[in-house]
Amino acid sequence: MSNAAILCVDDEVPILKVLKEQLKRSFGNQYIYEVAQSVEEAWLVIEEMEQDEVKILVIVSDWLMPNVRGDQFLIQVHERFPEVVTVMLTGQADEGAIDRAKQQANLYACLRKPWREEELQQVIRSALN
Amino acid sequence: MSTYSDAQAAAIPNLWLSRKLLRPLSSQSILVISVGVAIATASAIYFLNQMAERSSYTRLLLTQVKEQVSRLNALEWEGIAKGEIDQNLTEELAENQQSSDAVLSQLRQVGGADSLRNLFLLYAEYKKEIDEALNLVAQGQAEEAISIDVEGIDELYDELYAEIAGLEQVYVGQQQQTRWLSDFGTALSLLLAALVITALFRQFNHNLQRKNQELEAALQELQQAQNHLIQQEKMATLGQVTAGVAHEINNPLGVIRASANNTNRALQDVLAALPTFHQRLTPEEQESFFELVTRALKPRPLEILQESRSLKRKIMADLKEQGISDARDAADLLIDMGVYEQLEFLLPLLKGEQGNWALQLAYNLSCSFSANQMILNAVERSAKIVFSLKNYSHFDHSGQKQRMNVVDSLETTIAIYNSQLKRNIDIIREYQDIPTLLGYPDELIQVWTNLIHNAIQAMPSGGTLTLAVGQKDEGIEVTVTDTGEGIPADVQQRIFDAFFTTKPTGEGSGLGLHISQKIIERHQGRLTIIERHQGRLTVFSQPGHTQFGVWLPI
Repeated sequence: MSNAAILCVDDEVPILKVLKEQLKRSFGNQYIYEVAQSVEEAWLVIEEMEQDEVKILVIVSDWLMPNVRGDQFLIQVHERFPEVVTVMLTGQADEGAIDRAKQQANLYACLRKPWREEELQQVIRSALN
Repeated sequence: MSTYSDAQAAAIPNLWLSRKLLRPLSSQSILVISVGVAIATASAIYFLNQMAERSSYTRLLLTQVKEQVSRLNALEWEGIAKGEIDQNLTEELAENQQSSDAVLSQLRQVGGADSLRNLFLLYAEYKKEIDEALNLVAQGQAEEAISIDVEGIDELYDELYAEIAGLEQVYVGQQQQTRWLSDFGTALSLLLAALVITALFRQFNHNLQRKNQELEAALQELQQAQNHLIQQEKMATLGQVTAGVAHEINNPLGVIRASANNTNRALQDVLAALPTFHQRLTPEEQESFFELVTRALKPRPLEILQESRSLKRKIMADLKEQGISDARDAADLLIDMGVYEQLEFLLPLLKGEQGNWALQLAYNLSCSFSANQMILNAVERSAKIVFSLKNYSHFDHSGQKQRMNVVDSLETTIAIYNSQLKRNIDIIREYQDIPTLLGYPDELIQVWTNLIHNAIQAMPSGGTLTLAVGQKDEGIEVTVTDTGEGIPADVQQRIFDAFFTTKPTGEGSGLGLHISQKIIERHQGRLTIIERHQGRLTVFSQPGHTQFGVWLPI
């Protein structure tokens, strides 16, 4: 049983559903796939994972979300868990935010919606190797 | 080469000089020159007047000399006639002597010595002869005295008289000349004054004209800059809209693309699994399997994730209790399929050898359906955005007013801003039934965009946006209310000013509300552009309640 997870954060449920399914079909049972509809929920998931002793390897986050933007979230994540790979998946790119995330959250990649399955696979695969 | 440069070197000062001469003199140098000339002219005129005065005075003295000379001659003749110099005559002679001396001494002071030398000589001689004759008369020798008269005095008298007359002529001439000169000088200085005034006036006029041209150019530049800024503001609004639209379109596109990929994968897996279906599952297991698929295909609302996660943990725990391997994956699949209640029917299947395989197959079958449903939803959402955008950018190039519904144009704007509104801002719509009005839809949408955009920005950590539309005073009133921190009173007075912005440099042009106000003021079909809308845009703000009101005539 796997104890490594990939967490997806987006405020739109359909995005989370298809993203999770896509990752699951690409990487099978190697990892646990968790989703969160907001940054607040993402922190809850992260806590739960910690309790279950599941290690989060990658966080894929949207940028434009309520209250906390994706770049801020990934920066906070990076401060607490510097080993977690951060990926942004956004439909509306704010270049300043991407730069901030690159500098302060060690952003591994920024994917633009609508993303391609292959590029998502490639990013996750190369990030985990 | 050297010839050329010599010629060039020679040409430079000439050029410089001619430029210097051709260049209009500055007002200051004209003033300095004219003051110098005025002083010089005034002193010349003063000097000429002095000269004329002196000539006139000299002439007066000459006339007096003439009188004294005639008088002396008359007195001598009186003596001869009397044959003696009596008391009376002596007195008169003395008086004459005194007057003559005084006049002559004045003359000596006033007149130039050169021109009068002859006069003095003649007078001295004449006086000598007269004195001699008077002496003879005093000695009683009147006869001899008469002979002196005839031999010398008469002749000298004539000569002296002629000399004085001549001198008088000279001084009259001199006086006239100097008078003429001073008149000429006066005329000249008047002319000069006129010239200076003309030159100064021209200079002034020239400066005025130049200033005028500069001001006109500046005004034109300002107007161009203003147009440019208005254009920029429109582009900024367009930029905000484009960003919103990009988000709104790219999200459903992402869902569509990923769903299509997932469906492909699912169907491939299903295709691979189908041939062995009957071998792998017992009839009972097959029954459970189809029950599972049927339940998974039931339409259901999108689950709330947080709830589903706790559900998942519960199912996982239940399955574990039942001794099912890979309970986590099984629970995950069941939740994703939307099957999480009354799971007893599944237990035999899951506990069987092919449990995981069957669950995966059921999942693949059901998720191609749910993927299609998501694609349909995403297409519908994109179509709605495109429709809103079409309305949004419906620019009426005709410049004609159109019958329009204010609520529709508000809704179009909200659809564009949906991505930002739905997140942490609740929208309350208070729409009354209102008649349509004649207006410019694209301009009004620009106003709604501005007001809604400002309201969203005023509530960075969420709040409530209230849009109210109702009828008021033979018009339609639209209010946009936010629960942000409010606009300070001093800022409120200036928010409609052009270029006033509280946003950081580069974010706001400071024209949004200014242009909105202009659009509303213009919104009534008068002929002049200025009164196109004739509505009102007002603001009321206190912390937690900021309301922009727009009133448009029906």
